[in-house]
Amino acid sequence: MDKSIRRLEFENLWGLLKQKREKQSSSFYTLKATKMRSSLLGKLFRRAYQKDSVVAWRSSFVPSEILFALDIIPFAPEGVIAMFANSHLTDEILRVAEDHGCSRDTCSFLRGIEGSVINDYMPMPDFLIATSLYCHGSAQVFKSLSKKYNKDFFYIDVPFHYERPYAVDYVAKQLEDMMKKIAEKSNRKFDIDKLKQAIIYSNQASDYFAKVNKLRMHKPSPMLGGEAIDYAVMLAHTFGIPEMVDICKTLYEELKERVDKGIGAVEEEKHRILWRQLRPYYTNTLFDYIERTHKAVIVFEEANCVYWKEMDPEQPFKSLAKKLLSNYGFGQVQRWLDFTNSFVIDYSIDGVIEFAHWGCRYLSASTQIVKDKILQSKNIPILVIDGDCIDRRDYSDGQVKTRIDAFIEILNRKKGYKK
Amino acid sequence: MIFAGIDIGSVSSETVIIDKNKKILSYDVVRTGSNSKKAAEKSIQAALNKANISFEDITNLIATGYGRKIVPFKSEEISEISCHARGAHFLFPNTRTVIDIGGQDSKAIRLNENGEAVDFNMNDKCAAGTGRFLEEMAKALDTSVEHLGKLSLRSKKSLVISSMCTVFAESEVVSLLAENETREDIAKALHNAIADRVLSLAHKVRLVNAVTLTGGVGKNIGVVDALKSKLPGMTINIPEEPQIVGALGAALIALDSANINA
Repeated sequence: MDKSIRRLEFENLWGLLKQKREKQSSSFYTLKATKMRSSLLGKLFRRAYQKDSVVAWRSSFVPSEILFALDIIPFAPEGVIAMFANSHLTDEILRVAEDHGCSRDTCSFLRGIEGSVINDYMPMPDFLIATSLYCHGSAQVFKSLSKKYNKDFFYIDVPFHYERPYAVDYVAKQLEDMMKKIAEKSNRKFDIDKLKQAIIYSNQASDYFAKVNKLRMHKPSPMLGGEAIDYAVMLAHTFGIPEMVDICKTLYEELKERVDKGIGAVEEEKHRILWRQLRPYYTNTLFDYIERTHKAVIVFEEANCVYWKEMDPEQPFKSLAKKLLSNYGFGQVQRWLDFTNSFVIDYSIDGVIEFAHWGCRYLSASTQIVKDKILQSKNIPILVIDGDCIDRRDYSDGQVKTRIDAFIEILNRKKGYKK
Repeated sequence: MIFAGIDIGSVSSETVIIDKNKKILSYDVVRTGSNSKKAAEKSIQAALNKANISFEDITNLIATGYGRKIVPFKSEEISEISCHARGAHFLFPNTRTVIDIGGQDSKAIRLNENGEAVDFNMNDKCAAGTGRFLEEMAKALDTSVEHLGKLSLRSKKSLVISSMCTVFAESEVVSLLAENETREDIAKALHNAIADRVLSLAHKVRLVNAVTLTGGVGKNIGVVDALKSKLPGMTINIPEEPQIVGALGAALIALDSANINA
């Protein structure tokens, strides 16, 4: 397949954008760093459609550092589907996928990828890479698409028993082999020094982001969850380049200034909320309703956690392997519970909201255990909103708001607020 | 001083008027129909007439239910979760779990010893296992929804309705009729299916004794019977008028709120 097809794919997407786009207002984008983030993601997105780019489709958690060290453009189809949903392009895309036999009971992120590929909206990949973390569906979809595009598929197997002695070397070897093979196939130089430099950038960015997370422990919280939650997409996608360091540094400085001046994300913060899982991408009003109307600030999202330790640039593959293995959502549920427990304490959480994505059995599996084991003993209420991150047909604004109203009433009573 | 609560549900709308001693002066239930605002006006007017008072006599009025935002004359709006909890605890102070089966949704609420909601769970878009579901099934069995409960008490054989989708359940009912199963046994199977569905909501909030059943479906003896058999050893309180518990809770909160402000 000739890579010039990417021009056609971009034109197809552009046509859909002109015809169907319904732009969401994003009144919670208040920070300069957020604009820098959008601009970086937009730049990478456009480059993925260029004929001379080498593009790797990556599922969440595939180390972007390796790709940047090879001058390869990372393209995250799941993140792109979230972006399409924000402009309501997914109405059409999901319809196409269903017309081709995808069941509405499957994950809409993956259905969205299928529909986008069928209609040639996605840039043709040179490689497709998935990991065994969280989602088996994405690996299966990538594998099947690798046949359609006739491109290599790489699968990084991260073992469930992450703590066993063989685990680090086992994952590190897969990463090294993959990098060598991709370098060879794409005529890129396997330059270990470039990878070491990418690790240094990655460390600098994650250090700033960890500091950002620490600033968010402050009362009142300096940042809206509605603005923060979309950083999760970037966290998975842009480690290993200096632009990411700039963004995280800017974000840190902006929040530091707010904290120093005592400026909160909303006036009169009433409640502090921990957010679990992702968000509905087709509406921006939900967060506004929770944070601005009810003054219940989402002070932290689990997806934004910097769970890994500083990496050693001299041992890049082992370090990246350790980063993958330290993912708290993988392995036994107890590991995740320990993290949630520490978030509840560190961020002085009053209540937890979980947006349970339809079709994702993996993420929803821990909900009741978290509720029973952690929140009940601490008397922290949790609201589980069953919904869909991408498919707006499964979302009823009135029903969701009723649940939020009732949840806020519970929090108000606990704190003795009249309303 | 007079206080009122109005609960605008998807199928029916209720008003309850109480005095400062929490005595119910009157109540009214109307079908909501296609115009919730009109239903609200009609319901409150009927309740005012029954109590022989005028609207100006009301000190505080709280609206609840899915249509609470469109009630024009309310002082405040409160979610139905808080109102059902308040109303059920007032009627039965031993209530620790409320199971509400309304026209188009059902919910389970866990209460603390003060009668305050601490956890809840609601069904989603699907109306299966609610009053609307029973109305459709009664039609399929060629009977009235009022008669469905009594019919099921005469069941002799255990049948299972596996599907909880209203459309599919109806075709299952039709198939069972074609297989010469009796209406009594089918009605029983329908009530069991509703009880299973609502109990799965209730178990997620870790159902605790005693349970109070609210909502119009509480009038259906078949559903009550099914719930009792699935919750052995537990107390299940059934209010005389299960439909008005949400509106009663709203009226009580209206009184509490006036006392706080006083």
